[in-house]
Amino acid sequence: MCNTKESRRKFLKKAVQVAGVATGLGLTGTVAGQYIAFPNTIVPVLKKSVGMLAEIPQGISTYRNFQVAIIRNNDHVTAKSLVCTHLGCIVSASTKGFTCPCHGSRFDMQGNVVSGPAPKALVSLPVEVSAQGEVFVDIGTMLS
Amino acid sequence: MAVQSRGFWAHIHAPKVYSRSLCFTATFGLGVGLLSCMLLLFFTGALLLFTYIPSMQGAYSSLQEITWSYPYGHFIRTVHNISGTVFVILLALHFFRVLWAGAYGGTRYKNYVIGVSLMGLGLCTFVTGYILPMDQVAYWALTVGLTLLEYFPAGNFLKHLVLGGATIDTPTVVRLYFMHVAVFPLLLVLLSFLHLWRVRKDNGLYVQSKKHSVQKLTADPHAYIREATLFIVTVIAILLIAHFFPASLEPRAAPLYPPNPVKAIWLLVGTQELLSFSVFWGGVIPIVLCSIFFVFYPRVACDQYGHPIQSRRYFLFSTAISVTAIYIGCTIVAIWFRGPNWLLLY
Repeated sequence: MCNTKESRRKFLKKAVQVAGVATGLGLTGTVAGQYIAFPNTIVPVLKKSVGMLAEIPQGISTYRNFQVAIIRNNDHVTAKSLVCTHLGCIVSASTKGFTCPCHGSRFDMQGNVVSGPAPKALVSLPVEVSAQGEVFVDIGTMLS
Repeated sequence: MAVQSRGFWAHIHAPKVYSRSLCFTATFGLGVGLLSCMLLLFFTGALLLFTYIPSMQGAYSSLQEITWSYPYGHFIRTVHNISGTVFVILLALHFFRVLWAGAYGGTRYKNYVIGVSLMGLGLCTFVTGYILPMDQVAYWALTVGLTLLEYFPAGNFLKHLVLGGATIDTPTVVRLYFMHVAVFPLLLVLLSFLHLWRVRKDNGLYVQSKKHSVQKLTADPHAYIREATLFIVTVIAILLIAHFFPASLEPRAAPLYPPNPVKAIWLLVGTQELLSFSVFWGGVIPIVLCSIFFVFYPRVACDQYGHPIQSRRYFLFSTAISVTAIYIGCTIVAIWFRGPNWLLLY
């Protein structure tokens, strides 16, 4: 009888201790984690001008400062992100398509995977041509 | 002789130690080697703290000044660099020695887990230090590492924990710096003390057996003299390597222009090769499986008395050797057989 009581008391004491420590660590961890790992990703301007349509050459031209490639096929303009879908290096463009210097992924002119470890095609970015013929690329989708 | 009062540091050892544990082949002095590296790392690291500037532009500029302007700057940086590399290599060798000896049974399992944690911490310190120069190699390793984190559970949380903003910038450098100079070293020191304390708690380096004599010697001077010798040999070896292989400094980080091909330093380039096959099968799966296997398998590799079962001991050891062999193979391919766009040269 006495033993049962004692072991119960011991168990309760242990349980309270464990619960207390777990709650304390959990709360502190949550507060500290939220504070440190706050995704402070404010992107002020999303639409970037890459120049006038008339001045953009046929084929692939790269705008490294925006991490964007513009692919012009006659008057049809598309934009691809230069960030490799594998592990985030910047791909380089050639007449055949895109290659990544970090792990050797290769993409065709449309940004589709030809070979290598990249799991999916280069990200397409929305393109807008204004009435004056200026081309804008929305790089927001890349940063989010 | 009257009982002498023993100083604080003397308590790292028991007053008497097994003569067997003093044989060189018992440990190959790997633990003491690691401690020696750590002392060198703390000393040179403290010197570098005076001159390193943790910011996106300042980091590289200060590295240039350390390397080319400050007296002995290049040598101090090289010694820090080499000690770090030797530290990681000795971690692996120390681990192999323990696996081969089967020194993870019974009460020693606790210390084994502490050791594995120390190995993880050592690698974290190594990797964060590798990023701090903010040269091209560091920048692209960081880019890849941050994206790699996203593939792990809670990866986005970890990524933002390191990144501290939308892109790699000064906040990222400050965070890595803080982790490298404060968080990881503090944990390393604490766990190292725990590791050494547990060795004493587990009654030294050997489990008593009837096969061997249990002759004991006083730690002072028998253990001390050997440890001092090992320390001096390690330090001289590192200084010599540092003299002949000065640390390199790649061009300043250019966030939009990765070199082609961009190769990680030789100790990590095997990872790059593995990742070039697949992030999941070459990165996530090996890391997760190895961590689980090497932490938990030793628990089941022993019988009820804490003695390793022979076949399981061999299995554990050969797995570790195979993993390392694959890694070394990948490293060789990456260093000598990969050219521009990571294509095979031959």
